[in-house]
Amino acid sequence: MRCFVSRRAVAPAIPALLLVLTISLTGCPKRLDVSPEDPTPAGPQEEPNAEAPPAVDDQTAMTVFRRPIPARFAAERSEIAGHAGPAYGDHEHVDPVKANGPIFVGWQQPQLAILFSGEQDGYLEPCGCAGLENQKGGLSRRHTLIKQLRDKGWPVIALDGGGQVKRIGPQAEIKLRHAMESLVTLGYGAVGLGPSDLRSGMLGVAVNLDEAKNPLVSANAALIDFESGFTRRFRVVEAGGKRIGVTSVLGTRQQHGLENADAVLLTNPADALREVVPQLQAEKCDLLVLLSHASPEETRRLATQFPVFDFVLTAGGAEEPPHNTEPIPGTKSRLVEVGHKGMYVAVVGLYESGGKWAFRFQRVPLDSRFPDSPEMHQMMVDYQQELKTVGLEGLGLTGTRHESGRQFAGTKKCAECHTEAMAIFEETPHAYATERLVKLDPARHFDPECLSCHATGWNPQKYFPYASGYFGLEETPHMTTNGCENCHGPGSDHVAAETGEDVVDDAERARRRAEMRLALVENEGNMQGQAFGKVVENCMQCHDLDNSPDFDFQAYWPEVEHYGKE
Amino acid sequence: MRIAVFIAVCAVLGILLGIGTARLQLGPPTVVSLLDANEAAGTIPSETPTPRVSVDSEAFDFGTIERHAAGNHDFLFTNVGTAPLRLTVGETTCKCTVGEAPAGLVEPGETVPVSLNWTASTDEPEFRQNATVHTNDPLQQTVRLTVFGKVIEASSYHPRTFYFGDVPSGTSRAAEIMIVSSRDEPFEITSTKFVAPASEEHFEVSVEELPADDFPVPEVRAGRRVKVTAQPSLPFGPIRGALKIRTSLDRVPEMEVPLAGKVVSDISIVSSGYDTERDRLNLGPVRSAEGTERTLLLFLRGERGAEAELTIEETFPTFLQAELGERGKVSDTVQRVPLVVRIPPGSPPAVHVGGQDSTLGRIVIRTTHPSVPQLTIGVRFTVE
Repeated sequence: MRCFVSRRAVAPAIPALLLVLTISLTGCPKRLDVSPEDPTPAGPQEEPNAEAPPAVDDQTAMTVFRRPIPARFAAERSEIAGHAGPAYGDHEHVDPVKANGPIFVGWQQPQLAILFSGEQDGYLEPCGCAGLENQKGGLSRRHTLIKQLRDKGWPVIALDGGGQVKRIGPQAEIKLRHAMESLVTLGYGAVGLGPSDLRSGMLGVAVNLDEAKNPLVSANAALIDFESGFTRRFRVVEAGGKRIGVTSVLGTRQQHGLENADAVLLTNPADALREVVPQLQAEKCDLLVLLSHASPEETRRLATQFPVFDFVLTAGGAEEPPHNTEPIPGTKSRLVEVGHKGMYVAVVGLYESGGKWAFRFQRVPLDSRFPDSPEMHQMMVDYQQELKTVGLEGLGLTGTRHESGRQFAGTKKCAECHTEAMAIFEETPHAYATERLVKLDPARHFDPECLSCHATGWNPQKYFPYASGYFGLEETPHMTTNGCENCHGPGSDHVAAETGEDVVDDAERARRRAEMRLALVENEGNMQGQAFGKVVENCMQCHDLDNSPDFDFQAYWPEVEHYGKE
Repeated sequence: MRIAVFIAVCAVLGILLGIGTARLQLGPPTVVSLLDANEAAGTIPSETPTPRVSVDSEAFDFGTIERHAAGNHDFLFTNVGTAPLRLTVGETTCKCTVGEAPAGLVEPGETVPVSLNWTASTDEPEFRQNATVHTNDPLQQTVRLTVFGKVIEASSYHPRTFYFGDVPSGTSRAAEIMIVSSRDEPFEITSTKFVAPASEEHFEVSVEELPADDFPVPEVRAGRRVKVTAQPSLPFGPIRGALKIRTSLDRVPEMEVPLAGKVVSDISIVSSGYDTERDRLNLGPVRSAEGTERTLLLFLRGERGAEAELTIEETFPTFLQAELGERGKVSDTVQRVPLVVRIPPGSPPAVHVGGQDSTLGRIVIRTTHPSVPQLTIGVRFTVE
């Protein structure tokens, strides 16, 4: 058969093809695809609002706006009413991989992976609650990451620098127990101690941990004493055929305020390391790690004074951790930071070759690319159930007198006169703030840290109810919603003057009305170049960086804008 | 023959190029940190007009900034390539950080500023945020800019709570905080006021100057130590309330520092899940097949506590088990006795949650302590 292609054409094509094949075969490392990249679902489309001409309120000489309610609020309200699960429809969906970057790009499977975490600061769930898709952190996603790595065959050692909680009090104690039990479930090899951990009943938690699984470690902080067995001064953790020696210290400044902590023994961190480091070295571990719950300055000093550690985790750094480790001058140590609120963990992948270690570092944002872990979901269910069982009284929350001296009347009282403002209010998320907690899975309407902004009559930043505020769906049904008085202040005096319950003259009636009014200043807002007035300061008691990172007052205000009384 | 040689040469070249690109992506087997994926992209023939980005520095240390203050910095981007360069500011790691790049293209040889503006909105003593700049440089499609530094405040205090711990009834105990300032001016505490239920009836306040040796960080210029002493008159139960503190520092708001702790008797209970407000242990729902066990620690304080003998007098319901363990030491003045509470596997279904519908479970411990003859621990649980 005759060949239709000449030798001259074929001759150079063969080596070219060979060249291409050779390059592609030798230049293609094994890729580890850890993060499933879910396509960003389309969010609800916002419809433009047509503004009707304003009407003038003769009584107060202020304009009252009547305008169509944004369709997305109506859609969300319908979703809340009919939906039994989480509903976060009012925030733009974000592709987490696009927003926060891919992870483990080009990584080959390491011989050992060390996962560092720390300073969870009480955030069992992703930082804030405004759209879990948009927030980072949480034990659930951390658990999923660890499971994914282990499922891929990575030998993983998880180490935590301490700081499971930040507040103290009955709720912090309950939270600490659930956090510690979770870290045991996650298979942590070593967990350090933070100052609030030691003030929140860590002894009561440690007493009930299975001794074989208890990960608590500290060279200079002990529960009762160093012989009690509730903590160890160092631990040797094994994975991937390697032995990792770990110890932890609580910094000097972090010990302030612990003088009165019961059953806690503290020593100077440097003195403690002087005793513990030789013991660690005697274990002949492959690598040594220091978990330092101290400021970065003190951590660097300790690492320099004891230059035996390969990796040193520090507390006290910036909220946003760096993308790499930092060499500590004069030592072989690399400084690791993981930020705050458990939003990130750091994974160090270790590769041994010819007796030497190479490593790769990945800062891992715990974003919505990681689905929730069923075990941690159950933990949240148990935690919320315990809060319900204990009740507000059991959490020491019995109601505090409001600083104004006034009492809350309830939004429905406001609605009796302020019908126009109420019509606007009822179409905003403020109106179903409590309902939203009830509909979550698990429900959150027994959690003071949620109720403080999702009910009426609570201090938003200190998580306690005022004496006339919300105490339960059955006990105080008129105190649901993030109601009028959360912004305008308790209104009982104003109501009493208007209804005649209090017999007052015109001047007093006017004074009580004026007490309830909020006035915007010129260019009021929270963005750079705007005036941070009293109104926006009030909004940001709930719309803070944690819970409302996208908050832009001037963008949000038109959707809740209301004036006076028609 | 010539073809065979040519093929062999191509194969060798291909192998060398392949190894080279692989090493760029993974890195040589030494202690290195993660390479940016963009650096591993390889090379482009030099005759193709190509934009190439160069930045004077990708990280800027602003030194110190006052909390909530704003800062800005211009990162200088130069096109060191041979084709126009396009820059677009992408994501930042915080709404508090905003980036701005000039519109239009950057011609070869041209340098333009990319501005980063930030507000130090953080509770932490350090600040770090990133911004990503996207480019059409095929070898470096993203540039990560970082601003970082220390956050100082005109005034701060540490620790954040007056923490008293467990205060034995009838004794006094002090808790203190440090208030410091980074301003170059001395300051005074101008007023203190208790927030109910704390009051002068049960607490005393004293203020003294903080010596320079005790300044926590180098930026501090002046400080005061504020001590609150709980008096022996403080009744049993949780310590609540706060102390409001004003200083002479201009534009520094009043501080409200909470008080925390408990006044306890000679015999108290330490346990996770123990409601000290109502002396109740919450075991929650228990599966009959599994049972459950919880260990509490009884702390015995003082001489009379150390001498007290304890015996389990009653448990209700009868299948609820309680067992006292061996006495151990907590400190020179405090002993501990473990109390193991058990609902054994196979226990019958039961509801003991208190309230109108059911009776709480209970453990009654008889003691020989003259002031605490009996301890009654409520136990809340259900068996399913």
